[in-house]
Amino acid sequence: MAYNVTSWFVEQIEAKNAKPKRVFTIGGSDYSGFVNKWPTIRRKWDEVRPQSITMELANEGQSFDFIRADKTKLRSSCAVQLGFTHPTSGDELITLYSGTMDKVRYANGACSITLLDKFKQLSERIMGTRDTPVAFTDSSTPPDIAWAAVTSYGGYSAVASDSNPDIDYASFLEWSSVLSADAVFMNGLIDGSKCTEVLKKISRFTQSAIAIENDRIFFKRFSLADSNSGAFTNDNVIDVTLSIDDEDIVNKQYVSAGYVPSSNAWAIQVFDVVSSSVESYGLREQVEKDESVWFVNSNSALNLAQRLTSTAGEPFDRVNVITPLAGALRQVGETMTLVDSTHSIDDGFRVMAYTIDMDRSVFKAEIDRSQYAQPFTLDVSYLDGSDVLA
Amino acid sequence: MTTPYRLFVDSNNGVDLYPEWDYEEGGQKIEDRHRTRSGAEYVYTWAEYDLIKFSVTYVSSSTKAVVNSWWSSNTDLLFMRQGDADVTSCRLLNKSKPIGKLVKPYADQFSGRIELGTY
Repeated sequence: MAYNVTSWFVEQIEAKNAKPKRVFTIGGSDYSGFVNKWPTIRRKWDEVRPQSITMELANEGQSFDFIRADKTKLRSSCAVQLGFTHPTSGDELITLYSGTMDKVRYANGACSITLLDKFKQLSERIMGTRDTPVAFTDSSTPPDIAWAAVTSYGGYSAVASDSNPDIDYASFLEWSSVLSADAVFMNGLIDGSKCTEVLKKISRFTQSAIAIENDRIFFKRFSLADSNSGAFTNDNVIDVTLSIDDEDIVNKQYVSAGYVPSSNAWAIQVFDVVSSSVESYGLREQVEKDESVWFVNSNSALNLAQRLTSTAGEPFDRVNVITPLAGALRQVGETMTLVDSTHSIDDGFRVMAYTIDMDRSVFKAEIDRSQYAQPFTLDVSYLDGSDVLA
Repeated sequence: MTTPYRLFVDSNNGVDLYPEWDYEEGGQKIEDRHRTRSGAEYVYTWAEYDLIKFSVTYVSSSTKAVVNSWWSSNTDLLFMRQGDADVTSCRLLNKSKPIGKLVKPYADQFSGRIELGTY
């Protein structure tokens, strides 16, 4: 979940005096020179729906009338890129957004094109029907159902290697191994839900990120202690706002499992409670159950219950950080250190969402500690020792 | 000025212009500037373009008609000082017709202002 760029690129984007380049392509042809206003691009860890951006383009010379003339051009792949021109090796660009055209509007010598990303196709296709629902067995896992939603029913590549152009296969494998290690099994009876709706439920029931980065769908459960990939400090931050929301708190989580469709009954209900949180904030209960995908056994259901109470048992700081483009290499899921003397913060946070305003060169990250695991640090010379390393 | 400048589409379509001494070359940058909390400034320069502005007097009615028609159609033009190698690709940016004011006491001589911008 990080851009594959050279150290030269990192040096350029973090420079205080930079000459970046913005590129807009349709079907591989460069239309950057026609852009009147560059878009704002948004990504969020669990927003499983098509993200749209609108390109405002100059059309005085009828340069975009070719779309009207041949409407199959709406399916052309479009990309918005940011980068720099290396003095000897040419352009080095990162793709911030790619998708196909959803709407094209011509007005007053201008043309505005609204694009939708890879989730568009998944929002246009369904799994099963009322007469012939798609059934999964008790030995299925959430990744099994997600893979079927994206490939068999969503129509994207099922190549099980890093060469898959639609799925970040390395992230999928890692996500699968995490849920396999936790022995999480899920059953399903899907009778006409859109593929995005199914993925959204799996995201919620596994508390996993399912989003698009680098034009591929990635999967990740933020359970591993990640090393911080950089720092937001007063030197690269324009502004910081911090909020705490009492509504975030869930200290008693019920999860139903073992659904029997024929009798519309639930065989299992488990819960996890955080007593210290109940004492401090009062009882905050929540129930998770769904008749299209459900956990098979109590172990799987308890896995979610414990996950939710551990991330939401205590209210957490939500921080919005605004930076120049210097911050724009950060992606959803990366962990960062935030040093903010105003609020006495010097901690690690995880990037849960971000927006890049390409027209104003501003990056806004939404970071919090709800799913941040502190990296393990060995500070004694041997595991049972009591001496503290300097 | 005594040295003429050439405003033209190609070798067959062009006019000679004699700028007044208010001839001015300028430019604009398209950039974003941000000041961080520590006071550091980040500048992103996306592009820049050149502007050339000058007045002309004693322009013939035929030259006036040619220049004004280029303005009307936003024609892509070339601009150079006669004898120089540098050629600037530009368009007429005037908000209204560039040339049109009569020069007293002549009935066929005009004055106006040329505003060129690169594209």
